[in-house]
Amino acid sequence: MHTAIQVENLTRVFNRRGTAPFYALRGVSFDVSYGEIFGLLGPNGAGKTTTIKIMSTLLLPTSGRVTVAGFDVEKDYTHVRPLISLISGGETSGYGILTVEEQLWMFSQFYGMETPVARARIEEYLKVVSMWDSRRQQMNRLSTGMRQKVNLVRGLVTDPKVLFLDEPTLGVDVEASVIIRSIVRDWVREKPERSVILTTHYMAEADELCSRVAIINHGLILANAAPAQLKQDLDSRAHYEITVDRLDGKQLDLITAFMEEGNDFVLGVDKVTNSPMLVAHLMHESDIARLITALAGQGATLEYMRKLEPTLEDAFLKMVGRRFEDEEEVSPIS
Amino acid sequence: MKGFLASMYIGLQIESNWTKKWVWLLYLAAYPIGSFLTVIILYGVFGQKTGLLPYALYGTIFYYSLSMVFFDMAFSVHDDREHYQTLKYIFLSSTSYRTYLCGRAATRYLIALAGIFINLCWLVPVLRLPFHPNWGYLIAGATLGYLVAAGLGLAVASVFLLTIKLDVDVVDALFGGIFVLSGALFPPTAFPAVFAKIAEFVPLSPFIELMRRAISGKILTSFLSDMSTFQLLGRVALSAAVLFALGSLLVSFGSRQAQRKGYIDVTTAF
Repeated sequence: MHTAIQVENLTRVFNRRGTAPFYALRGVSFDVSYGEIFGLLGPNGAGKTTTIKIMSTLLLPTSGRVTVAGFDVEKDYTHVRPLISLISGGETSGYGILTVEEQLWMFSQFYGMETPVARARIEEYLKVVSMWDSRRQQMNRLSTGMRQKVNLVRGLVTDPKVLFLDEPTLGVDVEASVIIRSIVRDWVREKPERSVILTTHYMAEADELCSRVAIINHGLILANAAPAQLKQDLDSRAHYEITVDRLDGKQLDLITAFMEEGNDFVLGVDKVTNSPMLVAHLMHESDIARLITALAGQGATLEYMRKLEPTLEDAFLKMVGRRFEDEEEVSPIS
Repeated sequence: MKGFLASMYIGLQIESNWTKKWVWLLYLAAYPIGSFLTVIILYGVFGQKTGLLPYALYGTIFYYSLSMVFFDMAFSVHDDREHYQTLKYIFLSSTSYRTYLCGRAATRYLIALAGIFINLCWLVPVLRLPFHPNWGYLIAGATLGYLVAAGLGLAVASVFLLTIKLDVDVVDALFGGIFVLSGALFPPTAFPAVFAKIAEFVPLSPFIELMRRAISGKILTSFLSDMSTFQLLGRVALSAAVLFALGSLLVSFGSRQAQRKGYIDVTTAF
């Protein structure tokens, strides 16, 4: 079977006493293939974690259907659970009095693993995350980043088919984040029958890791495509930033007249060199050659040039109307 | 089975890993004293004439062994959900939550029984307690008693799965009531007839009386004296089967409802 996860018309409503029902999800549909890292992007309260909770059998949907590896998460959850792992970021889960090794072994036993197999995998993954030397350290003595690495190893030791990563690098330092991302990427590449569902606050992380992302807001999927596609859909024009030794307004008017209609130019000053800086929004990628010829015709010498690429953040901003940082935490339960 | 043993292991680590081994062994021996010290003062010092010291002491220590099981099960829910934040990961594993709770509580039970054994080594000679153990009844009773307590513990755990705020007072009141009615501390025959009759049907009553007889070799009061030791064992077995089945059903129901409400991984500021 090619499809790892199928989400069909998923709705989840939280009824709270004395307040109106909270619609966390409103008819969400998507699917995830094996071998894919699928990202769910959205501000806090958008419905990402609710979706992950339902897919991982922690929460029941109000309506709609989710299958993981062909099993219905609502009816066949006992078949789903041995096939999945969940790793949540930004929490301090774990038995503090256990050592790293004990903690990981204990969870492997909850999945019925043979101890020699479990121990071998624990050693392998602890070495990958550079924590083999800390294996006899108690969990409560570990830093946040180290705890999250142990959390990741716990999720991988059981060799799940589907890995749910809910903000896995939240509150983790840059070095640990890089390691976690690298492991996740390699883990999926290793076997084609694996897949990862990732929610993250970090757009660059989603851009780097995900083969496809769904942008979710107010419980609705606004877009579902490859990051490159989402960025391309944002704006088909090519954008350049060009610093030259000299250029004034009159010369720019001449250049604008020389170029085809629809190309926009903004003249400013490079904050570092104080040289004139031209930001060009070109209708076609190929227009850059014509622009450089025009600049040369005005006697301007190129000092620096770079292409401005739209980011996933720009795509998100366009669809949702605000940036991630503008959001406040919303909890539907507490 | 692996899940059960791993749960026993975490139970042992939570109980013992906070200090050095010798300190913990000392604690293991000293901890149960708190449960029966009052009884010794009450019946051994002030109420010597009643002759109820062996009855109350054996009753209290065996009640204590079961209380370790149901208190552990009840509080594990909040411990794992709020403090360790591992409840969701246990739920998502291949081990059923019932098995996990039973494993953790089994360790608590064995630790409690070890503490009782250590203390009986000095209590019996010092207080001249009747001691003619029937090991067959003791082992069978202890095993069935665990299932009785586990059934009660699972039932309370199912309620705790559906409550966000931990209400210790309710649990204390519930098990305090059972303590009084089960005849652990004094014979329920001292109650008005109606309550004495109710006491006979409290699930812990036959267990405690069975263990008293199994360890002392005597029928110490008239409470449940019309039943033979074998009949008591049958009553305990029946209670164990019914309560454990009921507790299992309730914890399955509670888990499903918690899944519906989104309570499995909820954390609060409590």
